Amino acid sequence: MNATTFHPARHIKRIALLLGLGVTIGVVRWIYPGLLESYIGVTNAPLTYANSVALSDREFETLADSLTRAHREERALAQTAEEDVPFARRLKINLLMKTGSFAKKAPFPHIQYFRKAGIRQYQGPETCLGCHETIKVTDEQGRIQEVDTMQDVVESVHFKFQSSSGGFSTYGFDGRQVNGAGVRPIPVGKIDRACGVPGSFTWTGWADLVTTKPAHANGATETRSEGCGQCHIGGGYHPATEQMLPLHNAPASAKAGIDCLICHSPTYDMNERYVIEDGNGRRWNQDRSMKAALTVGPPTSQTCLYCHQHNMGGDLEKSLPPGAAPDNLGHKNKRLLHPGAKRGTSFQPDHDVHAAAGMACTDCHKPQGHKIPRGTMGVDLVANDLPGRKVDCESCHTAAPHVKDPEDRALLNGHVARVSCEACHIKKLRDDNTVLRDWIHPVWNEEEGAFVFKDVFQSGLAGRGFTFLWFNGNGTFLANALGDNPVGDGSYNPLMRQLARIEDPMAIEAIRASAMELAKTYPDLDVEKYVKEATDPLSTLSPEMLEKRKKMIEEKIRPIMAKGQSKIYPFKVFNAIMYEDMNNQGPFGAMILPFDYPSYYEGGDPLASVKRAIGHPIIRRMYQTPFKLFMMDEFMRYFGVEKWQAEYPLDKEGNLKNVEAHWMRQMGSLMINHGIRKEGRGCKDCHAKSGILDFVALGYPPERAEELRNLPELR
Amino acid sequence: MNAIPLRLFFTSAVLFLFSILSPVSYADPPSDKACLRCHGMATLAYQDPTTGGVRNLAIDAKAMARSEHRKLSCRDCHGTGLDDFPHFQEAKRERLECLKCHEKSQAFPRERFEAINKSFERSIHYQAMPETFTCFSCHDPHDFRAISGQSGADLPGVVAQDNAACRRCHDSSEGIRNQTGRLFATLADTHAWLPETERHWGKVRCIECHTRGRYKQHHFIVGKNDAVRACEACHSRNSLLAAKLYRHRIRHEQRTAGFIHSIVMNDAYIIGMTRHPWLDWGGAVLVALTLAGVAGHGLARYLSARSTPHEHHH
Repeated sequence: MNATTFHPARHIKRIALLLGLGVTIGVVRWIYPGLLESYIGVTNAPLTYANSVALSDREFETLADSLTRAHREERALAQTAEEDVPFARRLKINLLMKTGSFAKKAPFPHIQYFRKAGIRQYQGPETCLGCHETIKVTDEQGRIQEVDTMQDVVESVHFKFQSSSGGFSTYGFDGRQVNGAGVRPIPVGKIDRACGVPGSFTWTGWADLVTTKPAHANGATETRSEGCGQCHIGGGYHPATEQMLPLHNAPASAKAGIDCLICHSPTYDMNERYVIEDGNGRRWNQDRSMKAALTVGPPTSQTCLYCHQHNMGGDLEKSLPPGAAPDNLGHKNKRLLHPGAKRGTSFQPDHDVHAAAGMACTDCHKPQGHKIPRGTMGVDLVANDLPGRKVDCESCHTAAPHVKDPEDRALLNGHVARVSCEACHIKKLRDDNTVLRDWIHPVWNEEEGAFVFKDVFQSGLAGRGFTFLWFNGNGTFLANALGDNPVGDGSYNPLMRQLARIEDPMAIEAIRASAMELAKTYPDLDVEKYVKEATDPLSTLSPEMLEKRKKMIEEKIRPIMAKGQSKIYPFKVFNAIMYEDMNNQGPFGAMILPFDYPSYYEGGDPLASVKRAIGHPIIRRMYQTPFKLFMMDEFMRYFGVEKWQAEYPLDKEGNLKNVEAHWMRQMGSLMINHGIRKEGRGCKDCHAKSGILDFVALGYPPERAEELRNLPELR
Repeated sequence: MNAIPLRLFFTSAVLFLFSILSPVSYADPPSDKACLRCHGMATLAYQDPTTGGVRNLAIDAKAMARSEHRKLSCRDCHGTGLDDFPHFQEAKRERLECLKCHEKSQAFPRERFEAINKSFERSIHYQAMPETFTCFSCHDPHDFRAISGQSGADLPGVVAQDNAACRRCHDSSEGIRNQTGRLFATLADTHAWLPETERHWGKVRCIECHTRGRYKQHHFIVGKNDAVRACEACHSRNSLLAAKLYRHRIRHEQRTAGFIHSIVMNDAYIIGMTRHPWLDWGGAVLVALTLAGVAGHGLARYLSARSTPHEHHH
């Protein structure tokens, strides 16, 4: 054997191997994304924005000057707020506007940066990355790392809306931690989670145009914008679906469409946020004007609230500061407002002590690069960028936060072991806090000129709009707080009691009144049956299902309830009646089917709207084998259903199969942490015969419960 | 020895937590149950406006049930002024002293407390803060367990308990600032010179080095200038630990395992107590023999190779 002899076979093998590798890389890099796009039915195309225009030098200077002056005026107004005589105040403002030292402070450093760099047009991330290609990020250990800015943004939950890794404090009804140890991770988060608050989810309700007939228009129609994309920093025709699929990342056009300014510009004009339609489909417009770009800086409470107002005070909160999202609905195609607050916890100075103190969201939610912590506790299935990072009261207020009254302070601090701060310091939610939402009996809204869902019950009061539960930081797959009474008698069982039943007589009366109102439009509606199902959703489960539920709670959920140190927390409660795919029903609920917004709002026919929504390509894919294997089987196991029955609920004739309307079998419980009042509750708010805490339902032995209601010290 | 009362106390503490409570009548002296209604709350505390530090008012009933004072009820020590709620003013006025109770005790004669007091008064703590530093600054009478009362088996527990008393203040800069108004370097910084710092802290008490002298001087706490710094003070045959941390254990082992066993078989590793000159000598001899063997073997091979005639290759 001679080593130098030419061996064609061996070389051919090597060449073939190299070629194969090259082809594979090529396929994954260039062909696969296209195939995937067509498979999930999404479109990617370069995005343009009409308001991204180049300014002349003169226009630039005029704009810069007016922004600086406006900011100075704002400060002068604030500084003279104490002056009661209007004329004197005006004079003072004028003086301040001319005062050198007052004027000198350059509020917007980017004016100078842009001026020097010759930047006269804002073109989205491209412009930002020109200087900020990388940023320095300090991690929890204090180590400083330089990261690629775009990658940092694209990997954040604010962009991708999901997480395919661990860090969820959520447990499936099968007892497994979502994406926990020993579990094959699947992408979960807002992107793929249908929910009863919006009635749809990001895939089917991204960017829609709705034709309305408002009463004030005298028969004329108005086009309105609606969809989940209004609060998303990506600018494309669909959410970041590609990123949750294997071997794929956010496409270049999606990256170029990121809206940096909605978080970073205090002069961002929410009127630019509306749905536009072009040759490739519908998407959300954004403010790419130089006016917004020149004031760029770290996020402020106002910029966070452009989106988060929706889940805090709600869309209908009044007296918001200028520029707030609900008061600036769009230069055209105005966004539809959503009545009924998701949490009803306002972050405005008159409702929240921290807002009143002028604090920014990022004081507590301290960002790490573009990743924002949401705390270590969480009931809902929302992805968490920084699962280990705490966002809590104690970090600032210490474990002994009550300091003033020497008679009470120690006793109040004594409660900290068992009672969360929020339990006493959130006394009330906004009145329009939604508890029960009916999606299947739309009602005509004169003002909006559209059919809208009916909020059957709204309340901001303790025991009605929110309840108190033991909480150890974990939640179920359907947002039920988990925890247990550390000195209880084992009877605490919120999934069979607090969250599965509405017992408050006034609440039941209000629900009955709503049902009777609905019956005027829907004569077939059986009011008593309706009230029964809304207030006791377990009544719709078969005896076998009910048994299975009890067994699963005892075997799978109890061990998670017993984890850690539980405290009593307040939880906003919520339930919705929607259409469900009954092939995928378990003891805790069935797969919710989404609504298509335009057909719902325009036609008021919820069934037609469901049919249209599930005709969306990605829903079809959900009911096919690849998606079943990729994620749906796992998803349903968490849901408390053995596996995904991939039977498409729409037959060839276009009829729905095995689809029924139901309330979820228990109410969801949403953590509430804002709307914090300086003055907490008094002793007798809880320790009284009709106190806000139901000590028996909270699992105290009856005698202890009686004692807690009747403390000798308070007699 | 104390099994029965201890269990009784424990049971009553548990009963308190889980059982029915009849309404407290403040005409009668309150029972422990009544006190623990509030003081049983694990986070009963407040921030002291004068020091800024947190004053913990919580009593851990379980720890109390294990403590030296387990047989006492609250009212045995705390006066009548505390019968009514709230009583923070009365509590502030209350001055409790160990000697008041221990005056007549047979188990713990006054002389011993006086001796302790003497060495305490020489300590750096008392010298620096004669007004505010008391026995209770370190010893919480509600969970205090004397080292002599604990069997030799639980040394790590003893170490943890005693060091916790020091670390309560010394662990954080705020802890010391609350007491003294001064900022000190952290423990980690001041002990950076000590190899295996954390391991030392887990195995021996701070006071092994930070007390002056040997036996009976445990309360003469000294600062860094006077503390023991020499490794061999402990790591030697005549370890000072024998007079301090191991004193009770040695006695216990002698009692249970016999004198010889306790010396030869004790499980202290490294400290120096297992060091035996015969073993040292034996080891040295073994090493020397091995070296000699290797050298002898080499020499023999060299010599035999020289005596063999060389072969030549073509």
